[in-house]
Amino acid sequence: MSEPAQKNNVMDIDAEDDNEIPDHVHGASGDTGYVWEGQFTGAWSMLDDNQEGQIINDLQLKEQVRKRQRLTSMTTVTDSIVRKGIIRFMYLILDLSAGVLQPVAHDLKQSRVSVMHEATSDFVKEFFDQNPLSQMGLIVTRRGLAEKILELTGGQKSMLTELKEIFDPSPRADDEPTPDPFGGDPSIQNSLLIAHSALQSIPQYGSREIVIAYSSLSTCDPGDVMTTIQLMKDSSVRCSVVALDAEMYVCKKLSHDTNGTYGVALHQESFKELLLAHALPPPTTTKQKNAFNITLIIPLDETSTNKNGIPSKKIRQFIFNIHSEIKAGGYICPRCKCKYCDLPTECTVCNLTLVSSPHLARSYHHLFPVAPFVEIDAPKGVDARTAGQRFDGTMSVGTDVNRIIELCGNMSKDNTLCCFGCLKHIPRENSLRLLCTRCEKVFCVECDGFIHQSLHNCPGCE
Amino acid sequence: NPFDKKTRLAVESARENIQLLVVLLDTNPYIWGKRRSDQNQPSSYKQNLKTLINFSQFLNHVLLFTNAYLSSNSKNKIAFIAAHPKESKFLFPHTSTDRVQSENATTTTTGEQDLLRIVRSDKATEEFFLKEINFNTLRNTVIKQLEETFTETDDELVVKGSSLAGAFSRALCFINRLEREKPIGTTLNSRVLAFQVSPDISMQYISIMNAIFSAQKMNVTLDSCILSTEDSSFLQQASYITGGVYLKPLKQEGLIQYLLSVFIVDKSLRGLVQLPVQATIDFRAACFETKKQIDLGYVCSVCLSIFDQHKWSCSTCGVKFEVLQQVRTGAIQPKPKPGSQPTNNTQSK
Repeated sequence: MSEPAQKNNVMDIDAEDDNEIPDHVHGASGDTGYVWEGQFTGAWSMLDDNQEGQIINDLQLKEQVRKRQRLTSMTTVTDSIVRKGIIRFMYLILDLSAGVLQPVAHDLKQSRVSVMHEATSDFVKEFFDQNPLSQMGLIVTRRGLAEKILELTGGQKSMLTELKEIFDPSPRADDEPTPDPFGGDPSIQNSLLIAHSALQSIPQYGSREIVIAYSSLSTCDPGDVMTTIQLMKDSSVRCSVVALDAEMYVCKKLSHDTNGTYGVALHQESFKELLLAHALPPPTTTKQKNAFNITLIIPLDETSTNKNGIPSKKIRQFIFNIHSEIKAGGYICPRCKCKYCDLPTECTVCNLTLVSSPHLARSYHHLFPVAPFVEIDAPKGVDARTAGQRFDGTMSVGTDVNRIIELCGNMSKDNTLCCFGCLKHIPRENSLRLLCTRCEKVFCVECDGFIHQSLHNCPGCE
Repeated sequence: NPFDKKTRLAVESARENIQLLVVLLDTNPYIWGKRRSDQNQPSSYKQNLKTLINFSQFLNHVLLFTNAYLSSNSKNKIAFIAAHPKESKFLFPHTSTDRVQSENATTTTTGEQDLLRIVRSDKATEEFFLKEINFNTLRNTVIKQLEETFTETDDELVVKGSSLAGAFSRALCFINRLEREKPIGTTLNSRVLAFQVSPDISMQYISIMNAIFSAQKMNVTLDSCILSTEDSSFLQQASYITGGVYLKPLKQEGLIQYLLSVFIVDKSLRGLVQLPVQATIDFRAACFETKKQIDLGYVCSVCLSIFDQHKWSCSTCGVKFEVLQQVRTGAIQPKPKPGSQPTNNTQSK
């Protein structure tokens, strides 16, 4: 009953069922092996030797270059500063059809459910971290229908609890069987229509977005999905799709027409990466007009309790409209004197947006990013003439390119450079050295990654 | 019950913890020099300034505090950064002019040479973690580097104020490196203690906020000790957001008492000690033009600049704003067209 013997007569004794998805696939060299082994086949052909015949050990350098390439693909400096949509209103559409019950890859038994749960939770956290002034809602589609689970809200906690409820539902108290949350066919048109009607009431300064996490190969729609795509395009809603299964024409047309992005995940990590890329603000379309946004900045109320729970000064009890809880301390809207326990929110009485200055400050790094650093050493096999070309497109307007090229030339012979951020000595062999074009200080690869992804400040330019 | 579970957990987990404290010293020569000259003036003005200490007294307090900190636990580590007007500078561990000293260079003590070697190669950061820091070496290095810092000062740049944001960013890069290279199985608890005498510079607001959010993500607390006469709203926000302590001592000549009772407490033990709290933190932003603190304001949707009055175009990024609904309903007067008189009616357009 077992499978016929494979090429080199290795029997898979663990295979109990004919229909079981095979663990082993044919590797690049023709032997059976796991998929992850593919990246190590033929590693000997990548070794090089220098003039004396010794093998050059530049694995470390290659790893650093790879790390850096991932970073620079995300940030590019162009001549004009691209305007970004900072105040975003996004609907996350999840495809919970039968496709989500499939396993992730043919040699992993994990199903797409857990991958989706983890990736979407991380995405929600990252989204609210990068865009504190934005709001997010949740729509799911299964069995041919689409359902709005959560309206647009600025609260991270409610999104996370809803996601947990879907993917990992707590057992009900009574003995009723819980309805199966996954299954059926997804419907792109229905979910787009729901999102569209919900996004109609958004003011014009906000950037309207939809991100679909899709895991099927088809869509089951009541009408013509192309008219819906045209409707999205006319209302300037930016739709993007991140797919766990193969590429689909409908998704491609949708994302292309509405200026969104379409990504197909190769494996779990790439799905997460593709999804997290949407946490960064997108460039705005020309249709969006600028407008004022009346916002409010509220002082922290005097009667807030300190960390130990001991109230300072007076003790005043508040009753909050939304939760009807009694709590000491909170925020007061300056126009209608309504009480709120958390910021940022929208005042329910007078419709004023309530924020505090750290929320605005969190978005400043999107508007004033750090310029990418340039490599001091020219890549191997490049002559001096074309070496300067690697600076094209990486420097902001106004930097003296010739001076930088000269500086790099001087520094590349120097073996005593230390990283300005962490004081590590970066030897000339085998490691990348990076230069900030404004303050002319040298940094190592780890500091470069840290500065551009997390810190958003160059320590030398301050 | 003094031996409840929380205390026991805090004490036990301290065994595998390494504490790292990065001290940021504000070395603005203009302000410290002015204090010294004011102190030397023989007038009644001097009485008012009696509580402001000068730099050598300040350094004495700080070094005494450092000795106590290093003695309290053999695993405590420390680093010093000077926030100078031109740029920030690492006082300890130190590399001379950012370049590796040649092997033949002579140094005053062998301890310094060891430390230089330690910092540079990543294999030997293990020594930084495993070896105890010698206070004498530290004191000599810090004093020597401070002398060099003050003699290098360029007079023109001094009045700009010190680069606290730069020093803080460098501290975070250093902590990031040590987190990556620490010995397996240890946890590194890091905090930053900043001393400030210069006033806040509004240009540095964005940089300081970026650094604060990054510190919050890395679980680094920022404590601040203000030795200037005014409060610093940037450091108030920084300490609040990262969960640190903000202190403005009333009597600066007793600074060592404040340091030994408040700033020497480890992160894990802070829940057990009653530390000074901030009564009100002023989170209100200031209008970008009038610099007044505002409650209710307008924000440009493109560049997030804050204004306290309705405007027709943003002064930071230059975009023109669209007509609001308020104009249509008459709540705000419409923009007067050139050549015609401004209308006063409240009718909708």
